[in-house]
Amino acid sequence: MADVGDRSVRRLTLAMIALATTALELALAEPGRPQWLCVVTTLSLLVAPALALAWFVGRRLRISRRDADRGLPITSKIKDTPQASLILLIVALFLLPFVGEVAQFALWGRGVMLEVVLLAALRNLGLGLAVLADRTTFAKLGALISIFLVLVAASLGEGALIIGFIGVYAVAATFWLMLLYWNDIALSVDEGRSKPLPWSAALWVLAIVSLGGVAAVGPTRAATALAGLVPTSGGTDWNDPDARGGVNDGDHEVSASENPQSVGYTQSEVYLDSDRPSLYDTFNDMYGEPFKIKKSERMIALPSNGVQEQKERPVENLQAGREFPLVRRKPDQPARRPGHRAAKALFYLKGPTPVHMRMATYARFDGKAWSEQPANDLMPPLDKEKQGAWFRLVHFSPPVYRGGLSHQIKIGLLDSDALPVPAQLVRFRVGSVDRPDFFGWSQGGILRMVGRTVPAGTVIETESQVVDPTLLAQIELPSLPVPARRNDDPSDQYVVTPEVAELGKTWVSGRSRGWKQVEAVVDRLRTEYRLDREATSSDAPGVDPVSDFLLRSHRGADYQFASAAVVLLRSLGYPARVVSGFYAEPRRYDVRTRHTSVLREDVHFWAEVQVSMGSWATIEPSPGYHVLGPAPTLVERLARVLAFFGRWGRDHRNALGLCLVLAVAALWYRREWLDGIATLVWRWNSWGAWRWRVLATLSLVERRSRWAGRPRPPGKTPVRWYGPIAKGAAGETRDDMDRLVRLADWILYAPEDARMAPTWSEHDVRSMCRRVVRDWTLGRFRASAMSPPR
Amino acid sequence: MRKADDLVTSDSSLLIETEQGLIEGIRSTLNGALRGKTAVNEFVLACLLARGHLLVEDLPGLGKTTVAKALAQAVGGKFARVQCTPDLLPGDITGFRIFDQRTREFEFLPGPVFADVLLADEINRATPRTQSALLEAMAEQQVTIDNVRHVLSPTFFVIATQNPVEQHGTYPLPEAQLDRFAMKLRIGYPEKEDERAMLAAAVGASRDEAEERGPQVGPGELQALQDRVARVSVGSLLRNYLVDLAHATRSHRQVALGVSPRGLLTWQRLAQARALLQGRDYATPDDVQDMASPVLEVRLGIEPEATGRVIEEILASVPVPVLR
Repeated sequence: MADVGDRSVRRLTLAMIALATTALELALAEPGRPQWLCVVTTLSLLVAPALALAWFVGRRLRISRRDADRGLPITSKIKDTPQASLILLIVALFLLPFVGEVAQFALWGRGVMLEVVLLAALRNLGLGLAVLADRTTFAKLGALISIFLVLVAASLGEGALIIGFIGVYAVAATFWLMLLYWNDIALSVDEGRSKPLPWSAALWVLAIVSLGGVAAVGPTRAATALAGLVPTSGGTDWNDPDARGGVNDGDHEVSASENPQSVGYTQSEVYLDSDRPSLYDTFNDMYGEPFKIKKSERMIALPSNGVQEQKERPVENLQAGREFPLVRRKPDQPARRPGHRAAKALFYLKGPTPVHMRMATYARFDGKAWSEQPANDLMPPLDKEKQGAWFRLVHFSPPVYRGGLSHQIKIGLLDSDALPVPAQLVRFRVGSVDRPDFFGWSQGGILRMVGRTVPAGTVIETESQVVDPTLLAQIELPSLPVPARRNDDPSDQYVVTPEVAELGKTWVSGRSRGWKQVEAVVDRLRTEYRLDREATSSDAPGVDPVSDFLLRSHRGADYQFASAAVVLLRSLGYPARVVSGFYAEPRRYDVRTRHTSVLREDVHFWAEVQVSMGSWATIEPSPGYHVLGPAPTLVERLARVLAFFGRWGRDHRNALGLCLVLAVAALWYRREWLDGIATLVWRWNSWGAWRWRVLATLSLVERRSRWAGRPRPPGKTPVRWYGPIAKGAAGETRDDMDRLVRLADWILYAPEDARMAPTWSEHDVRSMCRRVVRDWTLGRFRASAMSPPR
Repeated sequence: MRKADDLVTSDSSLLIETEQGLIEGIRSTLNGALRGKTAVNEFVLACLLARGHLLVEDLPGLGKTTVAKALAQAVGGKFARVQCTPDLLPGDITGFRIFDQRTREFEFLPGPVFADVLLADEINRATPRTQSALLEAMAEQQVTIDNVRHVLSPTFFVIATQNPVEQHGTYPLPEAQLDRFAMKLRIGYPEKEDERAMLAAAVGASRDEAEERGPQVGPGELQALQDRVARVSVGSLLRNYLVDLAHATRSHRQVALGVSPRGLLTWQRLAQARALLQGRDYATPDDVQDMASPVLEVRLGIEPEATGRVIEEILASVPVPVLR
């Protein structure tokens, strides 16, 4: 490869990898993340360090080349071997994503897809190789990796920005190829002369080829070409049936308006009649009302143009993530039908987790069993919004909310009339169902469908609020009404044992009445009790399960935690209740479908505290479960991080202090231990030729002199620098240094054929080197208190 | 220290013992003549061995002539002295042909340039024409008079002096001609101790000490020494170092005129000479650095007061090739 091309190839390889990296990161970015942010992060976190490293390596390379030109014996040996540290760095970069994946698994229980990890590793490898691209092999390998990354980006990504990056990449890659093989394709230039690169010619060729390409495959009409550039009200006529972005989804993705063949979580306008329970009916005025005898479930009517009759039974696609059936064939060639894909979970949740979803609430406790709260009439009415099928819950909301959440819940195997929705619901929509009489309230404020179960395939969209504990702490919680002895209701006659009541008082002692006390109880339960799903309370008569759990066993299932919390809180005078339902666990988040599955195992009991009439705040007494708080602001995040580190530091103060002392000591004595290592290395390499031995000794002396704060200026010869320093020493010590320097001079500058001094055997030289290393310690260099020699 | 010296002398055991003896002889003669100026004497000696010419710039009475005479005595050649004045003609230096009445032929009367050591005192008082005649002789080692070529002594050595104080009525040497000199030296006042010794030695001394000692090298021996200097080894590292230094002089912002290739050759030869004077048969960066000051002083074309600092900067800017 020509020298002229060297640097350009290096830069181009780096540019290609940088472009490929950016395109890849854009393609892999979470949807909804701004693209510019992604580009900026990639450039600053990945590309900029690589550029800096490349600059650094390039500088070192130039220096070593210069030294090689001077014929320095040592560096010329180093010149062609890439530095081991850099190779190690590349290997480490390659392995880093895997380590990160393992760490993620260990810390959060979930990682990312293996493909993404592999791509990250490849990307790191490519960046590393591009840094070392001064070697042709590395440059070629780096370019190969960049091509692969770009291909991946092109197949995964969408959006004009990626296309732009790929276009620039194509241009860079063309030039790269040209540069790399320029010497082979240039024909009639003198041998030995570096051939100038035909930059202008290359640009001309590029321009002509681009023009030709535009002319050949581009739009034939100027208007069509301009349509892409000039903004119009109608946009361009470009249409991609598989599109997942832009204005509307592609035909294949969404509507299947022509010939749908499967049913799923469809929000399309076409409805397939199947014998599965559904919210929709093919009821149509024209055909008359279909008469279903066996079972009557409430349905709403759809307009006739949105319904298609089909003889075959449509297959189901009720797995989340595949919201819409992919029907790729034209109606006239129905070769293959989509596979049947049953739901695996009760329902799928799209949106932030963890979420507590109520299915039943329990208010009355008789010491052994909780009974459901009776439905009351105080539930908020549903107010249908003018647009769409959204319903809004009309109720007074206390000032404890901050921020909102939106979820999509896709019903799978759940067979229930209760709608699994987040607790602090504000508004919701269930498909196209726009009649409020479809919904009602069951006991305890559980939203349900009236007279039917929620069918599989239903998509519920919800918007809910988030309770902010800090705001909760500022309001006054209502008190439990004085237990009126209602004789007609024997189930409500549970009396808290004095020990439990005392325990509750102890826990909240010192805290003012309000949310702080609630938190105190919850914290105690979460920290001092163990969750054990297998544990059952004693069945012996006369044993109060709550007291048993709280005072004796200290372990139990989540319902015991919830009961204990409620009993304690009630004993303290707070209205509380036990709630059962589903807990959408962050651990079940599936990165591929970007949904959280809620399975049968996610049934959970927790407790709620009344905040005001009709609104309840979720508390989570079971360890391992969490309540989703409001998204922290930047200040809160910072404060939390600081607090975490402060706490961590306090907890590990001994180890931390020791580490700090060690670090300071290591820093303070860095020269000493560096010298120790250097000396060890010197000793270890003691079997080289004696000439190298002398030079290695001199090099060690130079290091020590540098570490002692007396580095030899580059323009000074060793004789002039160490001679005066040696003068301060006495006798043998001084002579040894003198000899070493002169011997090094002789080795470096005397002709090759000069023979060793007859009075100096190899043994003498080696023992002299040893003496110098022994005598001329760091301390001696420091102690040679003299003004720097002139 | 002795052992180290053993090492150095014995590793250059290719040197013939007599060469060291010869050098030592000249050295002691010079040191005897010019007391307390060992460094200057070493430079003079190096210049002689490197076949260069010497320009001494100093005040009157500091020993310029003494050095020249002592050197001539030690080398054992013919010594000539020219006191340059504005009316000095080129012929007064090179020699001329006169008509011999008896033989009826033109006879060549050689001028002072045909000596082995020529002292051109206050060379900047001669006219440029005369200066250039002398400088041609220095460069070519020959003079041409009436189309006849006359070869000078193979060990022809010029010591030219300049008086830096009186500039009135002088013709300063142009840069191009300064380059013909290998180095420029200042002698400087001696130390008190040396002056005392000088005074003590002068009492009762009837003749010059150098004259008493007589020639230290035989005919042809000086030439052999000069040839020996040319053979001193200069490694590739050192060559690179010299080239880097030369480039550094050319790129220094305060230097009007960098070292010419001829100057660089001279520098290398002087470093070789110094190596031989140190008893080595290979040159080291120390030799190059030692010779930097006198070599560059005559060439860089900057104010005398800035020269020392500039040379130091140049030397500091080029890393010595050691273990990088």
